Amino acid sequence: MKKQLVVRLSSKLEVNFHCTEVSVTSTFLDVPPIVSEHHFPILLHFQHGALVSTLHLSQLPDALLLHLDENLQFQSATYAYHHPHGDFDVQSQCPFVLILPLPIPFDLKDIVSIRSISNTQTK
Amino acid sequence: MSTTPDKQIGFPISQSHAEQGFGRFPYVVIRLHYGIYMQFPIHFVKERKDGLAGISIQTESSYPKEQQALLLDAIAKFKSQIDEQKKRSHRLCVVLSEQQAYYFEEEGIKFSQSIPKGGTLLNSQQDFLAMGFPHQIQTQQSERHG
Repeated sequence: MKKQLVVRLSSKLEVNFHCTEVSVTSTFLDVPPIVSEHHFPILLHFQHGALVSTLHLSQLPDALLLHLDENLQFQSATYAYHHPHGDFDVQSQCPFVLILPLPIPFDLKDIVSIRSISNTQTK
Repeated sequence: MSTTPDKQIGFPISQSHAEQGFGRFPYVVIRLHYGIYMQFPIHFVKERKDGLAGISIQTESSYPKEQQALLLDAIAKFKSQIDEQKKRSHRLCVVLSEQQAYYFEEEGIKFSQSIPKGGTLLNSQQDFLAMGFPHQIQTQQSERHG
């Protein structure tokens, strides 16, 4: 499912990301295959009901993970650089994680809000 | 029998233009007409420098992550200036990599994994930069676009 997210910045600029929303029912997720299949940007929606999700990021292309609450408000971020081999995991307590490719052309501290403006079925 | 054409039509960005910053990420591309584009290199500078082709963004930082974070604001101001000068809205994007561009459109800025390529590429003096080739410098200049 596609979802359009609008990131509003303090400069009043709005940046639109046409994301693929991926529902996740497991507490552990191997992220690189998801990115290979759907391409950036991706919105992970954790629906397993547990408090914490573990995201395996080894060999992920350089990416930024924005951890968002149930209202899509920005809580924290993870930078994944240099696609290291081995076990590179992060944990998230948020129901949504937006994955964007690096570099990012705006400052994360300038994010005022994130909202979803439409849902469209594809494929 | 070889399938390689004897003569290639078009040309890539030259070494002399590359030395001025053309074809290096990030850069701005304005779509002038169908298949005709204008490129502006982006330079991050600590102090104002005369003679640089393209757009200069002043910053004390030498960290790419901090420099790149300035891009959208700076390009929005650049677009406002040229829109005001020419009394019309320009279609432009800032290109960050071979698979990342942010397009400035009426509804807002849109991220896309598709970047402008091919056609005729000019600089702001309307000199030809490239024709029928990618807008970025390639290690293998063999890839062709219409």
